Amino acid sequence: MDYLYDGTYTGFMTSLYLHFKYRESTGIYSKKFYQESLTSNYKIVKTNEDLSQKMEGLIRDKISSRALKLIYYSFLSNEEKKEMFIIKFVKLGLIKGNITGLYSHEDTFPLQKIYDKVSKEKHRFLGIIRFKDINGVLFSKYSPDHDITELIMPHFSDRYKNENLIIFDEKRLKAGTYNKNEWYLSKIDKRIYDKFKDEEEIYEKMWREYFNSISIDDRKNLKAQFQFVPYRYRKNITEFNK
Amino acid sequence: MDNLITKLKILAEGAKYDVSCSSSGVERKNKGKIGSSRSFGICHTWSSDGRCISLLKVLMSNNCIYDCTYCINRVSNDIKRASFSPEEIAKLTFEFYRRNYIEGLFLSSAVEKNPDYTSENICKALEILRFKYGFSGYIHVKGIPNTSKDLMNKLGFLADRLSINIELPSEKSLKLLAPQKKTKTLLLPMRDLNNKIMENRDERSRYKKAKKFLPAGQTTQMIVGASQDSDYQLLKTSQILYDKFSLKRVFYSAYIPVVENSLLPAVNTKPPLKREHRLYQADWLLRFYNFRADELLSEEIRNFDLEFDPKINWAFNNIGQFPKEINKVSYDELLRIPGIGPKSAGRIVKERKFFPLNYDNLKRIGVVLKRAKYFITCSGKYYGGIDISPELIKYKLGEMENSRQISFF
Repeated sequence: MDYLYDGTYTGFMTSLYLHFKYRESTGIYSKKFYQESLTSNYKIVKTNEDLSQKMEGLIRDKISSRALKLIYYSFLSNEEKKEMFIIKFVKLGLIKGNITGLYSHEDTFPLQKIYDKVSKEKHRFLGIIRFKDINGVLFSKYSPDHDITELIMPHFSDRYKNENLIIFDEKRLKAGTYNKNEWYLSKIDKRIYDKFKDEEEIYEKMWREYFNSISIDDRKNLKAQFQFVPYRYRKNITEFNK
Repeated sequence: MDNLITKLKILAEGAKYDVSCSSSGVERKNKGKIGSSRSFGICHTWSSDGRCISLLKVLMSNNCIYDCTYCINRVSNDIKRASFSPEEIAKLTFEFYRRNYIEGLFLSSAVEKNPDYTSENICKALEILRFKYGFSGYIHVKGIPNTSKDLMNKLGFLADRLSINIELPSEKSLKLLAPQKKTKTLLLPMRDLNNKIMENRDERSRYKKAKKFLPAGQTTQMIVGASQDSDYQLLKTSQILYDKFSLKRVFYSAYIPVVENSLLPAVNTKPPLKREHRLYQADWLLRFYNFRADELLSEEIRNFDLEFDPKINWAFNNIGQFPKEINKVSYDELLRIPGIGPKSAGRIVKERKFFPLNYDNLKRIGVVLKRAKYFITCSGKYYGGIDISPELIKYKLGEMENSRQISFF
């Protein structure tokens, strides 16, 4: 039987708990993306905070707290089969113990790879997020491959602790907002965000001039530049536009 | 504002041949009004030469009284001149930083009037940035040779990292190309700063609240290809700097001819990028692989082979030590195998405790097998497919390189 969860992390953890402690499923899927067929046999799992926490405790005790981070990051990825990889990883861990950080095993390698991808994108966006000053609010829009807004918010809300700021994920219509006190996530209506006019700021112009002056022509290497800043990220990066 | 843009262009142009741009080495939460620093460093963009841009790298002024032959800013060169005021620098850094364009400031300067005057100006800019704007982000500052010791120390408490550029590794080349600079005036302040860093570390271990002095340490830069100095001489110099002055990094900058002068390579000479690349590889071997300069080069072989990297060349010269058994040899020995770096060596040591590693496991671990396979065995089995002889391996690797290049062009 397949288990379907509501798309939240807590929902997924509840399903994982049922899978290992109650009855093993044939797979755990998010309701939103589940493709029903005539032969499919499924159960909708009701999200339960207690069971979810029990599952987290189990992973922490039997594997490691780092494993929880690995699972959480992977859960935020856009990898289609992430649930399956997490199940395999946890299953091995419950038997073998601390398998966090292993690359060589076929059941740990895929999850480790997904984790690396998500961390890499998180790290990359700490650098290539661009803010615009709109009436004193720092506003940024971006479209990351993975759902990393909650991973980068702690960094920016500390760095700009005296500013109001919004980081808007235009792919998921989701925003991280910081109000000089705390940060939170919310869904944003696209119309609200469209109100933010794309006015050219003087500092954007200066930054572009700087960006062009700092390059050394005798060392031109567009291939390297492309590897570091792939085209898909460029539309929201000030210096690559206009 | 237009005036400011013009200045920015001129003073960024003048600073860009300084290659260092790293913002790593300090982990600091926002202790002021704005800014933090991450130990791993953050790159914010990459320019069309493929180099990372992390810091706003500018000169305070390009009005130089010195006449170093290789330098674009030397007094006898006919270029546009400009100077920033300390407030202008601070404000620009703050506004760029707010928009997350940069990770911090790298402030350098030509020697305007005299060394102390120049350093005082730099100091003022940093004070405004740190105290008026409450900036808690990363600052790298250039040490101007012949600046008074007090001023240097003051800068050390404002900045995270300081660098004095050696530029040329021998007194002879300095005399020839930078007659106003002397090895002594470059090395003495580096020694003093290192002593101060050590002292400060000691002090901080006793008083938690003691102010930090250059928490990200010192770096320097050497030019490659402007003088006759060999790779051996450059690498030996680097080793001394790492050993004696605990430098964090030595940067190498392939000389780009910016001026016609009989003492220098002609203006249309291509910068020796490949040579620079080999020096960086060797530098990595010194810092992370426990190699010594004398293992890589000698009085007889004074320059790196451009075809094969320094590590595999070392392996060719010591072929008797191979193959090494992946499931047995120590971490240090793993590091000596071409295709294995600190990351994969660490993983091997950790993961072989769970089960013996085979060839496929190594692939997942991230070992570069196209090089490593000639130098290892996995549980006794050799996967190279040819005899372990440098000539054969070179031939095989060369074959691969050729087919790669053909498909690339």
